[in-house]
Formats: sequence, structure tokens, C-alpha cells
Amino acid sequence: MENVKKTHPVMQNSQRECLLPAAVLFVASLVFLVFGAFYRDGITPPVFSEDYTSYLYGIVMTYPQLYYGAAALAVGVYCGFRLFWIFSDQNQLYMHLSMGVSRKVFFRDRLLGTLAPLCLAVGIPFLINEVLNIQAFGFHGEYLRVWFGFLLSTLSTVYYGVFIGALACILTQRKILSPIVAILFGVSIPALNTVFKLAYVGDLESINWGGTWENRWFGSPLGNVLWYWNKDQWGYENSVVYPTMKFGMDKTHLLLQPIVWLILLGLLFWAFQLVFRKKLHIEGGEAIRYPLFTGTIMALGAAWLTSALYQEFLLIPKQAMGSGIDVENYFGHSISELLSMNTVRYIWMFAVCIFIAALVFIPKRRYVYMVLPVALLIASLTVSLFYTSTDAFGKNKEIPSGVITIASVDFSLTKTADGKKETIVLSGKDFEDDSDIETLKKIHKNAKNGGDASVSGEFKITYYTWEGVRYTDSFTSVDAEDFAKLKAYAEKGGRVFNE
Amino acid sequence: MIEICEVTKKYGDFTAIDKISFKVENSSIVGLAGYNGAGKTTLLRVVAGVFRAQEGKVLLDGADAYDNDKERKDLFYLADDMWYAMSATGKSAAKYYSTYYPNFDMDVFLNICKIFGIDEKKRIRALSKGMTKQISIAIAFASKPKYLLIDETFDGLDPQKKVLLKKIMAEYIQETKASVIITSHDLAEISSICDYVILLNGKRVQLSCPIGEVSKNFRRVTASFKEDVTKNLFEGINYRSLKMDGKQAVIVVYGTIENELKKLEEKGGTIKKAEELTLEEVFMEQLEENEEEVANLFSKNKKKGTA
Repeated sequence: MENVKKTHPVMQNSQRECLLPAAVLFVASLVFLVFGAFYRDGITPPVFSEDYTSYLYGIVMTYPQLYYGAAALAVGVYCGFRLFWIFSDQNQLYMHLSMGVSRKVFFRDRLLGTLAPLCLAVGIPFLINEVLNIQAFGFHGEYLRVWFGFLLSTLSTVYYGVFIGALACILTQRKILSPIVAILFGVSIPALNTVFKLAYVGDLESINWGGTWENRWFGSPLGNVLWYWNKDQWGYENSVVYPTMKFGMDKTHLLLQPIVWLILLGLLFWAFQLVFRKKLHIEGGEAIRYPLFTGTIMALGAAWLTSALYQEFLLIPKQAMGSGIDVENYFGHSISELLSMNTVRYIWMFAVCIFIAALVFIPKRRYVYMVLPVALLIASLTVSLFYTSTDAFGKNKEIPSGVITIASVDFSLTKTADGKKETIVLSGKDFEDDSDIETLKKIHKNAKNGGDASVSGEFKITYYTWEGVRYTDSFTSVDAEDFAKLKAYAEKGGRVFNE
Repeated sequence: MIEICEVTKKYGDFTAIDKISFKVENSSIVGLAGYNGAGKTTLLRVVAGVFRAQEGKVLLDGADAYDNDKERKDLFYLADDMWYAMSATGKSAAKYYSTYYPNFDMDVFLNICKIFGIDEKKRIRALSKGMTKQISIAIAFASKPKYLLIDETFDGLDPQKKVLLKKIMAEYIQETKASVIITSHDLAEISSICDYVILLNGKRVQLSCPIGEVSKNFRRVTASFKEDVTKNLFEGINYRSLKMDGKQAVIVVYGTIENELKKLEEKGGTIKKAEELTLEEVFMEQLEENEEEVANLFSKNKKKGTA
């Protein structure tokens, strides 16, 4: 009880100190919510077409979510700066230490007291948002994932800002200069990303702007490495680095990302060390543990953000719009893909954060707290495995109605009828004609319904949706009638083998 | 009782205080004096359990002060820059601190505010430095600690408030038998309130004695010699400062004064004058060595004198 009495004021005070940032977050989130409601309720951005008169106009009209992201980022930067300023308050630490509050208790309560109002400030508006979502689209099995995804994506954005703000605060430690540096630093990352992308893509119009904030250079190293090892199973389309590959970055670039990220992590840790050692005069093992903890939490948050932002925050809502909010294709990917890719990753990272927090900060009954992340991890993996194995949603997957281009069709099919074997192979042919595309869509649909047993092989079709996101599907069989149509396409430009 | 035993504190490679030892008995006030950067604040922070000493330890009634929650409930560290929550008023700050100090007496807090003439309902941020200090003092005494540490005790207070503070402190000691350590640059105030004085210089204790004995430990001696004096002549004598002028020397000796005077006479000196020094004069001796340098600071034409 004594412990509770002692730690309570620290937490309460931290909460009080965070009220202003939390209030800013809360208001900002509500604005985002209203904005998002308009965005979803029919203000469809114009197709990224050639008739826009200025490039800026195109960006402004096509990607309002950029503002959403930018606003969330700005709020995050502000909060991050302010929070870290509070967090590194030497006087407060010293006073509490002199009053018999241990460092462990102090930092734990500061952290919890800081996070609680911020989470509430962001969580409540987004809970409202998702309730509205249910009303708009009906309840579906993916509700929890939807809620979780949007909540986390926004938190991730904020987190990213917090990360930037805190880093800037540490590096400068000057009250006036820091926010400016933080904002410049925040802006520089997407700016750098644009430069990188320009270097690879060559022209602004072909850039997939949806990835601006996600930034493939500074983020998602874990996802990239995992993908690289599993690319044969996952395929390009399931990878968060797919646009990187699309734009021609090779293995070297891909593997360079984790190195860049590691360097950034090192810098972050070094900066935290400086604060803890030099400013707060914390020494010994604690000078390693506290910055490592804080740095890890922030770094994981940033990594978490980078993968989440692109998938959830920019790409998915637009895909939903592009597909006419077809609930079954709400995410552009099947649920099993998403579960195996995104949610597990989020939960995993979340679990790691809690695990480390429990390990470092919870003095008593820490094992109880450590069970929670492990349970979360196991649960998420189980759910993922269940969906992956049953492919519960995959069978009904349709071509998104917003498709504007079919990039390529690759197939190698063999039809066996009346003792005769007929094989067609076609690769990389572009189908630009509308009637061809419609035919392919029908073939696609028939194939999804099971096809014909007499036809076997591999059929792969790739589209680009209106916002330039690639969408790929593959089947092992098509109908015999479709086989004849495909053969005709193959004869137009592909190679045909008859046996 | 507070016991400081051979305490050494380093910041990285820099040694802030080196093997400091002294005791603060119950019902007594120890004044810590020293130049800026002498290690006074560092020592208080070690005593308060904010820093862990690399060597030595601090005992509060026999128990180690570091990471000792129980004993530190009875300790109040009134820092030079006290922490208050944003937008806290004097009263809300007192309430906050009262959650940590089981003996906190809100009436004492309010009475001290009244004595100082401070409005406890005002936001601390809106108060002047001196008024903030008075709020801090009120909180410190209202916490009723057994061990009270006050950094830069009289800093920011006007003469009237200094007198009031000394009265409050004396009353508190009499009532609670607390052990108090104060630091200050105001040596006259230290002399007037403390029982014991510790002079820190060069990270170490240079003087540690009851306040009444300071004068006994230092003498400013004027001695004349048959020949011109050089610095070598004074080897083996405990002196704090030395000024030579031809056949005459003014030397501040410390330690066992009789012995030092005897040594001077053995070296051929005739003692003309041996004056007792106040604490302030002892403290200022070091500064006097730099007087000529200061005098020539802005004049290119003047030649630097020799000490």
C-alpha cells in the first residue's frame, strides 16, 4: 500500500502534465474523424488522370490522406517534444529521488502516466470512428482488425512524430530551437524519400505517393528482411517492399535498409545515453537500461509505424475507395494475407514493447505482465494460421472494380481432352483493350469458382488499381471455354505449344 | 544524526568531491561553504540519495541513505531549483509534497506563508524567485523532516526574510532536534546560524570546526625578516595565502596557530601582528591573491605585479 501511495502522485502528475498535449491530440483526432467521414462518404478523389492542370492540384485532390497523415505527424512531433522535455526534467527526478521514490518507480509511473491520456485522446475518437464504420458497412468478421488497424495506424503516426520530436529535443535541448529542428527533421524524411524515389522512378507522376510517409528507406526493415527470406512463399504482392521492387531497387538496396535503420537506432541510443548520463546523471547499469528501454520503445514504435502507415493509413482506405467499398475486398488483400502480414506484426511488436516494459520497469509480479505479450503473440499466430489454412475469404476475391490497367497475364496451362494434351504459355503480354480486360475479368471470376478439372497449370494476372497499386491473383485452373479464349490471346502475341 | 563517511563522487572522469567526512549531530546546523563548483550541491545530492557515491557512504541514524525509502521519508532536500508541477499554486504544491511526507503539517505550511506574507493560492510560476523560495521553505519545514538539507539557503531572500528564516530554523531545531545542513555564500549568515562550519575547497574539506573556533584556526600574521623574503622560506608552514614585500611578509596561517608562529620565528621572522580572522575573511583570502590580476584586467600598459 505504501508503494501505491508513493507512486500514485507521480503518475497523477504525469497525467496532469500531459493534459495539454492530450487535449491537442483529442481535438486533432476529432478533426481527422470528421475529415475521414467526409472522405469515406462519397468525396471520391478524382482518378489520377492526365487532365489535371497542375501536379500539386493532383496531389491535393487525389491524396487528402496525406494531410491526415501530415497533421497526425505534426501533432506527434509536438507531443513528442513536449513529453520528452517533461521526461528529462532533472529537477523533478531529483526531487522525487530525494523523497525516496526509486528511479524504477519514477520512470515507470512517468511513462504510464504519460501514455494513458495520450492513448485515450487518440483512442476515443477512433473508437467512435469505427463504430460509425460498423454502421456504414455492417458488421463483418474483420471488425476487430479494422478497429485495431486504424487505431494503431494513427497511433503509429503519432508515435512517429513523438519519436522525431523526442529525438530533436534530445539533440538540441534548446527550448526555442527544438520544435523548429523537430519539424524540419520530420519534413526531411518524406522529402528524402521523394528524392530517393525520384532517383529510381525518374518522374514524379509515376511515383507511388502513397508510400511517402511510410518511407522505404527508414522503415520496415524487419518486414523487408522477413519478406526477402520468404519471398517465394509470400510473393511480391504481399510484401511491404513491393513498390521498392517495382521501382527496380535490388537486393543491395533492400538489405541496406536495415543497416540504415540500425545506424539510426544507434544514434538514438547514443542520444538517450547522453541525456541519461550527462543531464540526469544516471550511471551504471541504469544508464544502459533506461535509454535502451526508451530507445527500444521509440524505435519499435517508429518501425511499427512505417509498415503500418502505408498498409493501413494510406493504401487501404484508397483501395477501399477504388473498389467501391467492396467489403470483401476492403483491404485489397485477402483477410488471411492481412492477418498473416499486418496484424501479427503489430501484435508482435506491441507484445515486445510490453515484454520489455515488464522486464525493465515492473518490479513485482513482472512475470504476470510478461505472460500477456506472450499470450497475445500466441493468439495472433493462431488466428493467423487458422485463416491462412482455411483461406476463409480468399475464394470470393474479386478484381477490384476500380482497376484501370491490367499489367500482365502470365500463364502456362495444359488442357487434356479426348486423350490429347494442349499447352499454352504466355508471359508479360499487356492487355490494354477494354474488351480484353472484361474478358479477362470473366476468366478470373470463373477461375476463382474452381475452373475445369481438365485444365491445369498456373495462371497469374496482375492489375494496377487507379492509384497505381499493383494487385495480383493467381489460379491453378480455368474453364475449358476460357482456355480457348486464352489461347486466342496467346496467339496474338505469346507463344503457343500444341502437343 | 547524519554521518558522511569518506564520500567521493565523480562525474565520469571529473571528481566533484573527494573523501569528504563529517557528522551532523541532532539539534545542530552545519554550514557548508565553498567557492562555486566546490562540490556543495553535489554533496547535498549524495546525502539526499539522488546520487550514489563512488566511494564512502552517507548514514542517516546509522542507515545507508541511498535507496533507503524508509529513512528518506524523514529527509527533505530543499534544492536551489525546487521542482513544482506546471501551474501549481503554493497550496497545491504543498498538498503534492504532503503525499510523500507522513508528518506533513498543512497548518505549519500556512502559518509560515503567513509569516512571510506569501499568498499560497497564487500560482508559483507567477511568483518572484524570492517568493518561490519562501514557498519552498514553508513546504520544507511543514514536512517536519528529521534531516533537512537546504541548498543556497539565503539566495533570493531579502534581509528581513533572512532573519525570519533563521528564526524559523532555530525554532524548528529546538522543537524537533533535527539535523540540518545548509549551503550558502552568505558567510555572515552561516556564522550567525550554524553550529559548525565546513569549508570545501578543491573538492576537499579545508576547514571543519565549530563556528566559534574559526578565528582560532586562522591568523593573518605580519612578520619582518632581516633579508628580502622568497617563497622558499615558508616551506613547511601551513599557510593559505602569502604576500611578500621586501623584508616583510603577510601570511595567513592555519592549523595549530602556536606551532605555525613558532615555525615562523625559527625561520628568522619577527611577528609584528597576528590577527584573528572571521569566516568571511578566511573565505576571501583566496580571492585576494587574484586582486592584482583583476586590477590589470583592462589596462594593457600596466605591468602585472608579482605576488
